[in-house]
Amino acid sequence: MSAENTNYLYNSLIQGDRKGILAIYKLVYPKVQSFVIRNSGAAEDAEDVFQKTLMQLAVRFRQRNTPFTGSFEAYLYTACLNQWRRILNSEKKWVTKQQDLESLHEYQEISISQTEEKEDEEEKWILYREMFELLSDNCKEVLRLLYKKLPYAKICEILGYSSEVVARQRVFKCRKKLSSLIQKDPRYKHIMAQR
Amino acid sequence: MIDEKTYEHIDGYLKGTLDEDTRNNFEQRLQSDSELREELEIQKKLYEHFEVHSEEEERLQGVMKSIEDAGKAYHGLHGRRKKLRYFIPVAASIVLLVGYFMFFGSSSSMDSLYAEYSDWDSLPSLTERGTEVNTLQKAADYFSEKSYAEAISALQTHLEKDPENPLALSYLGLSHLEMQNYDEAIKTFDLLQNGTSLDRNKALWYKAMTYLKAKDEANTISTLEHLLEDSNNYKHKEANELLKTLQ
Repeated sequence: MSAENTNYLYNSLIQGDRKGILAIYKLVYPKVQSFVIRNSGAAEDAEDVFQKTLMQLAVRFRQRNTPFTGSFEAYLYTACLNQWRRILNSEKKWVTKQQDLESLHEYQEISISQTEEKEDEEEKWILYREMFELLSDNCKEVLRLLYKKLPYAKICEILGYSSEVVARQRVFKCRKKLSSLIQKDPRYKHIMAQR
Repeated sequence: MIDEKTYEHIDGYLKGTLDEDTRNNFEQRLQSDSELREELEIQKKLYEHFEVHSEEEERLQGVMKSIEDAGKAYHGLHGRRKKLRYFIPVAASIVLLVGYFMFFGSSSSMDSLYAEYSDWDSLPSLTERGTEVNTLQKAADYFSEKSYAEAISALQTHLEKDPENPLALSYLGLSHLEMQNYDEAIKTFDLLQNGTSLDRNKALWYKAMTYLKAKDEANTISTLEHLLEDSNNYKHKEANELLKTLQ
């Protein structure tokens, strides 16, 4: 894959260019799907893994803000494989075929050299941000306002709640939900254990 | 167990608004309560992120939306469309309305169609968008009070500093539209459409609404047809129904 193409795909992802992201799907998704299906998954799992990984990489690349070197295709493929492996590990049904292990090794070197820096803080934030995406739209809206330090009176006004009591209950439920999603994720325990 | 009261203490601690006694108690509890420490750390990071990086967060939201859209487009093209995760009640009510028109209003005029389809209450709120709050909020208030001339001048002032702001462009175009400055409205929506923001996919719908209000049937139809070429365009479903009603 040419460097120009790598730049195009990378920039499309970090800037949210839908056409470019569609090109990423066309280029990489079929391989990811076939890997997931060969390793105890279904097509739906592959779709989720792929979307989740793209979101994760968008957060990661935007946060790091350094130019991308190497093959975008290989990087994304490896990240998807790792994601799927993590899911299987958490469900304790990871069975690897020799062939896949080999292809994984080949790609892992690229991935390690580019992900080591700032791993801990970054992984933590990626985890938080991903879990945030799993909340309902309403919860996301409420929490955005809360975390921007808007007073409850203002939150009521914006979201049309009848009283601050209602707003407070909503805020409590949503942040409780977010914390529990974060803490239940196996990656959270992993990050906490590394300290 | 972190209860509502504890969250209030966490908030107060992070914002520095606890009185001395409460803060000392809280700090003491922190030393012995690892669950509280973890929760404090999570909340601290969330506060920091959303406060400091509100613009980045807004852009990231746009990126996430594009990823979802691209996924839907891709899987749609490959014959297996993922079930729609977000149900949009507004869209449903409009479909019902269209159904009503098809049964009872076959001679419905373009005026009444415009009245039914133009729904500017659902415009994104400006109050959530970080630093733009003060300047744009005023314009949005004028718009919702239907003081379109004031809205236009406030928006033009804002656009001098921030010429590609998609929300400002949307509100400006819609204000022109409501003032029946159709040429100005179309020009403004062209700027929106040629920009790079995510909102550019709304421009075609706004233009269709402009032509509809101007009773320019030919351009309404061709704009709707253009919009329908990409199933990820804003109001794709409504455009389809409206086109059928017009033809």
